[in-house]
Amino acid sequence: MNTINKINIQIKKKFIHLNQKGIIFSIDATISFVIALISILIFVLYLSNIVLSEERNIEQIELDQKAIFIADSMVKNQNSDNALLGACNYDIDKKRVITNNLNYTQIKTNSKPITIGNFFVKNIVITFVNTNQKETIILSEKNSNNCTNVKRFALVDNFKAIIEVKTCKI
Amino acid sequence: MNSLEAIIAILALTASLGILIETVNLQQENFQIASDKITAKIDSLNCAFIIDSIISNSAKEYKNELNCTANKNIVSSKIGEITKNSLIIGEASSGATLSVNTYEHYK
Repeated sequence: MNTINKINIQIKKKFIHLNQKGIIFSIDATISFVIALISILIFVLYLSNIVLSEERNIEQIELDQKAIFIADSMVKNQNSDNALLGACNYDIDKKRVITNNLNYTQIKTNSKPITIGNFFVKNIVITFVNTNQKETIILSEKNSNNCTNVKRFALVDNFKAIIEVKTCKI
Repeated sequence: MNSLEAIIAILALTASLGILIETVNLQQENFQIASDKITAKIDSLNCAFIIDSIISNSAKEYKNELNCTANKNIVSSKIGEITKNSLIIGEASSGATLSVNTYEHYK
């Protein structure tokens, strides 16, 4: 009887040892695996945030593009409806628009607000290079934190000047 | 007790794996949609770039193919089921050819 008891105790000891090892192993593996999975999930969520930020970058590009082409149109065209889209002088002899040669009176009196979707032109600043005189033509009173400035060098009434067009997003 | 622990561990692992696979699948679909949206938006922006530069430079014509349609001041591009719009500073319309309302340079 004693011998059987001894053998039983020995077997139990053996199995307890095995059991403990098994429990520790499976719980450890599970915890580490779950941690690894959570890390992968966080990485996947981070990737989707990158896509969202990419969309925001595209919106910024669109704002910059509008500002560039409005300023470009202003210094290259003549528009009798809105000087913001064309304020150039006209050469009667050659029958053509003189690019980069702007009419100050036209800009001052005939610049009208433009709204293109969510974008609007806030103001035009003309800085005369020689005199450093600054003239601001406010076209919109709306406030926005997302604005972009585009500067163009041109002649305004034959004086060198920097034209700055500020375009914003609502 | 030992086998119970092992079963719980396997169940937890299987559940976690299932959730991971489902999330990755969902994200893959979202990525595809986001990718289409971005491609459509970039296409419409490309067209808006070209049309705006035609307007600002009083250009006469543009011969290359465009992946978009223009109607008044809206330029649209479609990828799959997704349509994205961009706006232009003037007006244009597209049928067989692209027609842009430019300002007269020579009068």
